[in-house]
Amino acid sequence: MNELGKRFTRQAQWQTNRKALSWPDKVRQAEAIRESIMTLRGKKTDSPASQAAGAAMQRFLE
Amino acid sequence: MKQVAQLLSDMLACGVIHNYALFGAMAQMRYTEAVATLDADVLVAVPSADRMDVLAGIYGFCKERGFETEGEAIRVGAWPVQFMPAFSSLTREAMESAEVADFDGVPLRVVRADYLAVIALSVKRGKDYARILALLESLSVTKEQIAQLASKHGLFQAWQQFEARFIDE
Repeated sequence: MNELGKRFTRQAQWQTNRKALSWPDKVRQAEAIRESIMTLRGKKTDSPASQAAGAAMQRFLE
Repeated sequence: MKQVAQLLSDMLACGVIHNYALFGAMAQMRYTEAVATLDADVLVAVPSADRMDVLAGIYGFCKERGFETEGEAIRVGAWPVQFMPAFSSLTREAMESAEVADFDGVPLRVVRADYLAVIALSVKRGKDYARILALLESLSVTKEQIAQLASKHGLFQAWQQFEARFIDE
């Protein structure tokens, strides 16, 4: 298998592992995703997740 | 979401709603990986479902407890929550047969995978089709279970079309 194939395999394995998280943990992941989306849309909220997402976005933009 | 679970339990205890069940993306995540979603969707049965302002009791209850509206939703903690009266035999059945899950120690009624798939089949947006495929891939529901439930609720043709388009090829 070439490097690209191995990379896809690893990515599929990583996604499979995400499914094994508990439901509350997946909801918390979704919360962080939502906050990132809101930050990207310029609708930043005051939650800790939003602040973390905003800081990450700021680092990316710098 | 724990706050949402607690609020729903309180509504049930106070008789503001007769029944409820979480559905949509939040419910899907019990079976699949986390997915992007902007709100939490809740099916509800309310005492006076024939009134024009069918959700007035829910909005009033939330307002009394300091939860503000956000568009058509009510902001509870991190999540805007959309309340939707169970409007059809499919959604009523989905709500009544919901499973009681545990969310960080608080019970939360959640629509089962087979009903999630068939509700998605009835809505017919791209993300709903993706939900059906994700649920099938997670082995939380089978094609046969979806076909049977779809048939019961007049959606067998929609299921056949979905199968031909996304599964058979």
